[in-house]
Amino acid sequence: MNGFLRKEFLVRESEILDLYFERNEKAISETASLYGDAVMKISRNILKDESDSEENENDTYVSLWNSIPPQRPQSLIAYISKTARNLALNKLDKRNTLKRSAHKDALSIHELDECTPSNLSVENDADSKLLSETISKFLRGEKEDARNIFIRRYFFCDSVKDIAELLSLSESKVKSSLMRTRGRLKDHLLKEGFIIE
Amino acid sequence: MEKAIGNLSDDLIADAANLKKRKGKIISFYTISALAACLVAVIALTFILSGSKKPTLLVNGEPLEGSLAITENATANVRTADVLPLTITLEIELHKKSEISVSEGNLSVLSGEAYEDKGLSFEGNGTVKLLWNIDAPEEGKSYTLFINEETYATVSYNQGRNVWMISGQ
Repeated sequence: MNGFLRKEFLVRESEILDLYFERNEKAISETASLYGDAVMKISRNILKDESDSEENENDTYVSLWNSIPPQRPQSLIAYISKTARNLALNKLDKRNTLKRSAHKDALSIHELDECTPSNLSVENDADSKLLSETISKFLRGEKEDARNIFIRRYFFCDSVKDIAELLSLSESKVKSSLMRTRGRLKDHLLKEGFIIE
Repeated sequence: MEKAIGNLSDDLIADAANLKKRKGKIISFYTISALAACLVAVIALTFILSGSKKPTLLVNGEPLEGSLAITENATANVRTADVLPLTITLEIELHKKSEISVSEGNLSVLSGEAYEDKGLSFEGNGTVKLLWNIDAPEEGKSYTLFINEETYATVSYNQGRNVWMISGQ
């Protein structure tokens, strides 16, 4: 994103956050107008169901309304994306318990099993935070395209086809970029002391 | 890993979230159409230019410009005395597929295998060496060489110089 556009977004985000702090309900419609499509996309990518995705979008806005304030995120898009993703994954967990169609194993995140450290506790927040920081540090060292492809695939759960269209690349190029980035991530995690079996 | 990816740094997520669809490397339909149109234009122009290029005719190795006397010493040989056969050697270079024929006499190909014998004419492209034989030429008549049924050269008797002449159109 170029600097001018980014600045414009930041100004708009700041204005929307002000609305949340004023407890002005317009905050939700403004959020939906700016990031509704992004929230629906991530919801659809995970839930693969239109009605569940719409429900997830609404839940995301409610969650934002309840958490801002006291929180004032530095990046509204990152905050809303994380919220939508977490809520969708939780919904998917519930759905799996109820043995409904879409299954969590089908998510792209499982492509990262090959570089998942075995010496960390899934439930341990400190471990998870350390791993997040290490991966973020690794991604900062990656080239822009490789980094964005990785994040679109594993954070936003985009399909390879969607990423290829977004970046005007062939699907095979996207797949090979993901494969190489996973390889480098595994090496990086091993170098940082994580154990991968 | 799912949780760790979910907590990546905000700036990384914001950058990836705000990616704009790249127009980039995929060639648009309009570009392909424009390229195809240019290609067609180039091919058509090449075809038209090569088609409009006139055939060249060599008589005894010399280009025919205006009129040329066909003398006894030339390869294109004329013997008028006892109404002997008139034999002319022609080398014709064609720039497109054409039909060569004559008003009278016989044509035979000396070299130019690509030329197809169509009975009273030959059809082909490129350079061909022909022998045009007129068994009993008459001084008052003229004999015509046609390319695609259009007069290309004429053989006639020149009374003043007492020789048979060939003239290009």
